[in-house]
Amino acid sequence: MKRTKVATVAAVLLTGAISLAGASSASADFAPQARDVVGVGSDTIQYALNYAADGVKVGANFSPGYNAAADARLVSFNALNPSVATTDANIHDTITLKSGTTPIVRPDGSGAGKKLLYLAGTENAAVNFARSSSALSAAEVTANLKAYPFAVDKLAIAVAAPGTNAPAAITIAQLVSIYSGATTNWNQIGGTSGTIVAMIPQAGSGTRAFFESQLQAANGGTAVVLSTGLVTVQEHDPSVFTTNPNAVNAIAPFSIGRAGFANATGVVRILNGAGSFQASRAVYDVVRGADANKAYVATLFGSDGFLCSSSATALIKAAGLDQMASPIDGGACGTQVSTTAAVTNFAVN
Amino acid sequence: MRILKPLAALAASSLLLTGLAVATAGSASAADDGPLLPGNIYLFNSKTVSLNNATNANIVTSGTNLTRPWSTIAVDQVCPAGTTQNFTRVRIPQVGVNPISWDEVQFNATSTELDALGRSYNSTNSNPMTSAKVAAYVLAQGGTATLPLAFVCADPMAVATGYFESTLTVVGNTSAGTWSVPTPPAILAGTTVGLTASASSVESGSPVTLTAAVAPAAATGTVEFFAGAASLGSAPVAAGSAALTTSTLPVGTPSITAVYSGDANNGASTSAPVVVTVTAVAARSTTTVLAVSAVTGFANASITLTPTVTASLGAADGTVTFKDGATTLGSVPCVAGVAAPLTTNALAAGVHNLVAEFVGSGPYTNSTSAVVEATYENEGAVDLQTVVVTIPQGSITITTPYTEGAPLELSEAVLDPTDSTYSASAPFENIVITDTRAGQLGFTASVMSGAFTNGSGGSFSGKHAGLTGVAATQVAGNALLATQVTPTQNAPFTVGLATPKVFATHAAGTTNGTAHLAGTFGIDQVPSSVTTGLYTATVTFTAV
Repeated sequence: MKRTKVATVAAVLLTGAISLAGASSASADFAPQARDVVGVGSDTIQYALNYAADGVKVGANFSPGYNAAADARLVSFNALNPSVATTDANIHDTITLKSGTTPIVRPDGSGAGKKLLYLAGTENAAVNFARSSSALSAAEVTANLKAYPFAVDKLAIAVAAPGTNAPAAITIAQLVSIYSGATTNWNQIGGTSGTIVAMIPQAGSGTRAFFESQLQAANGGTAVVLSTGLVTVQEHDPSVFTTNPNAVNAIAPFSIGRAGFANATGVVRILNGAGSFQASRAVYDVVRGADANKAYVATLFGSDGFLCSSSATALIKAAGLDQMASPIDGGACGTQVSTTAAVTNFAVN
Repeated sequence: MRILKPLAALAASSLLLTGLAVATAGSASAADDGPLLPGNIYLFNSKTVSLNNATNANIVTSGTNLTRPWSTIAVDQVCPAGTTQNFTRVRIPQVGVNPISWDEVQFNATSTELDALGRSYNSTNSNPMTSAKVAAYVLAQGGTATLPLAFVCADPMAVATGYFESTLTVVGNTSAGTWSVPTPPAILAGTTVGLTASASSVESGSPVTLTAAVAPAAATGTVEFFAGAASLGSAPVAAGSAALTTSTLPVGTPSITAVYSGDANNGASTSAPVVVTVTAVAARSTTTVLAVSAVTGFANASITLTPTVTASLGAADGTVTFKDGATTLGSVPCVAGVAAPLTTNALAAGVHNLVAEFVGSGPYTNSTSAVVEATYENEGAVDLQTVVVTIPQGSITITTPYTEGAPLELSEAVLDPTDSTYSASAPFENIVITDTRAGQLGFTASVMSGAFTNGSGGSFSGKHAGLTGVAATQVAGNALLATQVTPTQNAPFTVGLATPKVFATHAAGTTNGTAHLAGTFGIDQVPSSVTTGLYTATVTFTAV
């Protein structure tokens, strides 16, 4: 094990005033180092990066992640504080991205994460990559961000598993009508009578951005003006159904992979009747253009990197996503994207 | 880490200290891979083979960076106990850094695959050699580099239990580059040997054929057969079979095994043991016969005693002792039924009881020949003379006193009133037969009567004649005894003399001489139709 010189630090500390005022809710048990590769952002793909970094138990055996064999480690901060319940006041806690840096409020979602890569006043040098569940926006392209796809997520609509007034299937056309506020009761589209509770992830969420692009595409290419009655919720979070007294009437865009997690079992289920909305999307890790040639980008995010290698296949799968196939097998994994065009080669391993 | 921060930032540093105290993260290193294990790494070109069924044609030792280097990676030894999964790592050499601290890249996913012999293998996708850290290292080395390749055995927590090592040589860091690994030892196909014995129980010394069936059919070489740890011999493998016939199995229940020693492509294997029960040889009886070259002759001549020992089964082994009464003349060994003769000149004048005594070894029992009696005498002067004598042939004669001029006169014929037939008779005397023929031939005397005629047409056949009361009387001074002559009676008419009838016999082998016979000649049952007159017949006597 490589040891950095700790003794000198200890000596300095003893002579200086120690103030823990800056102490944050960041875990006192672990802090990323300057050489580590730190990422924030999307909720959808946070587990994929967690497992890719630290491994996960697959069946009876623990499958090691990137960090088991690495020098500089991969560190990925969740979109929400993983130590507390979703309703906790400290759900959006502050985190220390790297040792010695100023703690920041934990970025929640693709947009918030990518902003730390380029947005004046928000950009943070301690962030090396952002998780994004949607393609680059025009502003992000202008800011010279680069996106590396590595997995495919399938987005669908979830309803409360214990019981719902929604019909067995909801088409994208019906979703346009629901989310624009035109359809307000389930009995209007073949469900049981009940006022529709349409949930949507927060602004800046890549899932939301992708969902809205799907609505727009189904709306003849015209952006759908969203109803003001939509309920903003954390994406892929089953607890938003359990905490909502009107869950029987609620729907939310939901990752099919995440709906298979243990915490979603019995709480939410995916609507999969014939014609139901289901859309595949590539998910990405995004870096600054200036960092694109650094070793860690090729080592982690490139086609020959860890996230596209067979070592990560099972780890990504455990996170509810499907690893993209590498170019050697005709896929798009790790192929740099510099435009707003979403990757549509969904070949997976 | 550089400590150049102003005091105000120490607060964060304290967190750093706390974090560092507990953090255990560091570079993955060879020390993380457990102990180095002896064994070979195999790269195969198919995802459906393991060392169990791969052939040497499946082995890959080089390729391009364009494709995944291997479809299956396997090791030829079983991973340490506690291993549940394996993965492969390539180490990135770092100058000035202890190899146990070198950076590593995992080159495939973890796998729990095990072949039929419990050896680990991994058929998940392998990284191409363009894998980022490897490519960067090769580039930094000027385009060619050799990196350690480790097949890591790990427990359920991915903690290594040990690793096997080979080396990877990469030339070029782009897809146009190539890679190679050292060639591992050729794969030996697994073989099996099945052993059968021609008998499950034999008598010691009897042949047993041991047959080894070697699979697969392509295996060549030899099979050595063992009884316990002792080698019985070897036989070449032909068409999947090797056979050895042996008569040397030890008495008892030897455990027989067949060991196939393998060839360039096939591994060695040993059969399951087969037990053959070998019983001691049952006793075999013998018979001894002594032949003596001469049982008479001169004393102290050269006499050869030849023994023949015959066994009821097999050929006798033992010792033959020659004896003259109680005196031992000598002994010879008998090997496989063959015993040399003994020649001696120690037999003095007198009677000798010569015998051969056989004492058997092994299953052969003892036997003694019949006594051969020999008599030898002292040698004296010898003069040879020639004497000749002729034995005359001799002759046989038969005479009777009655002639044509002086015939036997029968009495006047008497008519029997009950059947109106005539009869007459008269004693016939002095039938004399003299036999002087050499050789004691014996004789048969017979009589025949011609028809009686009266010269004027009246006749009756000799059947009416008969010779009865025949008896022989001794002739004095004659070695031929009357008691040696056997008479036969021939009654008139009921027997009749129309054809020759035997009336006296003298057996062969009895003394020659003269026999005197007499009897009664008569006629009977002559019908009264016969005309009157003096009837005359000629009676013929024959002696042979």
